[in-house]
Amino acid sequence: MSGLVAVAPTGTLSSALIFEVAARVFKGITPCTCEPVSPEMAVPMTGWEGVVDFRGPGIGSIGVRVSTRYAEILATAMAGEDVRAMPAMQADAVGETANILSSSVMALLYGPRRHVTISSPKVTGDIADMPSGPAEGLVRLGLLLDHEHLVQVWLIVATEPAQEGTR
Amino acid sequence: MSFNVLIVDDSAVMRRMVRRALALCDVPMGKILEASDGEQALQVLSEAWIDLVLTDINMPHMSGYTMLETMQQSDDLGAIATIVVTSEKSAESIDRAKAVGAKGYLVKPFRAEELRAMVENTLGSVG
Repeated sequence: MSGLVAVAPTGTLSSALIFEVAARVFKGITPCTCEPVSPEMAVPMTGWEGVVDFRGPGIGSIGVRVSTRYAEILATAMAGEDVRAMPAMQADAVGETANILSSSVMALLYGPRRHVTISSPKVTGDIADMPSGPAEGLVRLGLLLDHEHLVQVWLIVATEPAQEGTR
Repeated sequence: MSFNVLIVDDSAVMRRMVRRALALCDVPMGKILEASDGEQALQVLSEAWIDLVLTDINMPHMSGYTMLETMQQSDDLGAIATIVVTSEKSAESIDRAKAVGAKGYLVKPFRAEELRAMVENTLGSVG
């Protein structure tokens, strides 16, 4: 996703604010401590990534990538039973987390009354390089949960000028 | 009297989460059925007596809105109590859900107690 143009107000597209939202989401699912770390820290290649696309005042994507171990914790917390032997449940939990996070970030970026369409989450176990884009349109976060589980969150915001303000 | 509930969500893990929350409710539960989209849910509703539908909004094949609209327009299904359980938190989504008959609206992630209170409140008014 190169060549994108940021539309979110500079002050709004802030790592600190999105970190707060992400921390609230993760704490809401699995009670945990949450601290920011460098997004450059490596996530194990045996993990999951959930991506949600959005279209509203801006167009873009939000992604969440977690290790297999944390996906197991997420899925078990959501399902209320041990689903460590069920990779489909883990993928599902990561997709649902991306979905919940995207709704919260959309409310933060555009306010509760703006129309934003959010795609179903796409989940993959094939983690590639972190996405790149222009600095003003890309936010990358690292979160450390319980001083142990590294989670990466990224957000790319772009726009189609012809549709700006029409919804 | 026990209540039959239909959980509609394309996420299997969320259906389990909702099912677990329902187990905490003080109202007597009968059958708890599941569907993974609106289309499948309407099929279940045509075959089984359901007292309460808990539905997600953003689902493949048929969204929760379309399912609720279809239910609202049906003589048979229009009276069934419905609660939306979704990650969508915009005012537009809440207004739209209410317009198509949703009795409650719960944003994910939710605490089991929140769902329990909403279900008990909704079924209390039905029973």
